[in-house]
Amino acid sequence: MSVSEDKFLSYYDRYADPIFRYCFYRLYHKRELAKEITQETFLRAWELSRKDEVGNMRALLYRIARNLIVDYSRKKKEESVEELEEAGHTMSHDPSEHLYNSLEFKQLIKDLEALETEYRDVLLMRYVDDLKPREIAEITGESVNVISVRITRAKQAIRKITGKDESRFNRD
Amino acid sequence: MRGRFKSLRKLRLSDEERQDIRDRLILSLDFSVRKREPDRHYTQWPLRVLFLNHKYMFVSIVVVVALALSGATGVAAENALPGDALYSFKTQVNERVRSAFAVGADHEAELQAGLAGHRLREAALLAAKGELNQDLRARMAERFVHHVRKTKQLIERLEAQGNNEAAARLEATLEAQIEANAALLDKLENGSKADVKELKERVEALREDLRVMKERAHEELKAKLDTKPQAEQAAQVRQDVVGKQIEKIKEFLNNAEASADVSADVLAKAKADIADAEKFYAEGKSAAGEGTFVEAIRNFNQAHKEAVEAKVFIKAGDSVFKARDERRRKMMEQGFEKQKENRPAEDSNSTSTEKGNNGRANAGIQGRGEVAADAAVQADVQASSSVGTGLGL
Repeated sequence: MSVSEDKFLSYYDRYADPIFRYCFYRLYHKRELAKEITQETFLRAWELSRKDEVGNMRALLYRIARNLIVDYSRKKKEESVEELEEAGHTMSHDPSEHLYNSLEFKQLIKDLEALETEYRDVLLMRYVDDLKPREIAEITGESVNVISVRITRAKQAIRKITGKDESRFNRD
Repeated sequence: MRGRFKSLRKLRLSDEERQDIRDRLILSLDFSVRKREPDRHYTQWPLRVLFLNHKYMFVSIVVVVALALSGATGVAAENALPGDALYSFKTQVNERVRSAFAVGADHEAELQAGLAGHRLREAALLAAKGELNQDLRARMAERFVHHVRKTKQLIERLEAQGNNEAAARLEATLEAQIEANAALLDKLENGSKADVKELKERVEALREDLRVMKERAHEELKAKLDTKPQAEQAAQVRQDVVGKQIEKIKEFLNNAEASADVSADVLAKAKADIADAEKFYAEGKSAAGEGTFVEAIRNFNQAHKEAVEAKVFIKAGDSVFKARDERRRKMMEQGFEKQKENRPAEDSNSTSTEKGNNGRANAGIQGRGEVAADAAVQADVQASSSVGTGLGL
């Protein structure tokens, strides 16, 4: 049975922020672009859910968002945060400006940028989006084992990058 | 590891951003559902792609502006109702073009307040035609709320900029739009209470919000105009503006009355509003005379609201009542047609000597037809009455 409008809007209310975050950290911190992709993600999910039964709406949303981001990234040349800021695309006039300006946030972004895309992606999904390895596997189309191994390696990689902050990573 | 990423999880959409995307989604869900209805032909999908995508929005607006402003489609679409083929043109092209050309928060707020009124008026027209089904009611309510929310956001922005004068004017305009169109629904005397529950709840919640907003704005104005010369000057400006507006609307009312196109119902309501506007205006002048300038401004704003309400009611009222009367006329005719369908058998068996009797019999049938039609109208009135009473507008 397809999803009713009310039910779908309740999904939006629940997942708008997580999907937006997912897009934001993968779209080189372009807020407006992340909002557009978020909107398009929900529109596509709605169209799909009208046609077929959706078992896991959360996973579907992430999968759509992921595909849209991949499409976008193929078309656009990647820009680093520094380049964006130099070009005037800084995140000023933005409700989360205070967050971007925090040292901790900046450092984390820098650490993540130093990681391979695959590692960065699983770390964000696991520890920011709070997805289980099974859900990450469903979204990425990999097996659960592959994802578990990738998470372990990603953790090792970021520990290596941060070096002196390692103690903080051992609390997991 | 989770602790390490804690700060990244703090990133969120602002309330305004979240609501904005939600509103766009609602519009799109609407299109998606309607496209599947076999008896309706919608063209929203391409329009959605053009207008919901920021990248194409500006170009789209430029391309369609000529169409919308000069084309017959744009003009024809103005009278379209939800469910009509041109309705998407009206909301996605005409209204968006106007919005794109509204310069500044006050113009945009004025436009949005007008659109909130439009949505209620459309609901009233549909109710008058007996076409305000559950699905449409929910959608009209969503759209109405969307425009009111936008207006309120813009009013708040104006207040934040210190433009309390414009904010007060727009609050009065928004309130007038809601009141006038809500009064229309009231006068229709149709619908069942359960049918309009959703719309009623939305309108009532917004009215309450508006009351709170007005009170807050009044207090802020009081605090801001702490010096007598400032307050006196603001009251004087408001007095002049509202005085002129009342005169203009009175002229509009007189012209409407002279044209004899406007029903007595509509004229009576509009005249009562104008009388109230004049009463509040006089009270405002008297308060200004006594040196209570903030109180004077409040009265002038109330006068402004009553005057605008009269104008909105004249402009909208007749189309709604005509639609209602047309529906009643059709129902009467249908009542007669049904009776006629039963008559040929009797006529074919009748002889010339029986014709007199048949004439009387037919008169009897016709009488029953009228009774049936009256019953249908009664049912209609009962069915429609709850749109008004249910709305409690």
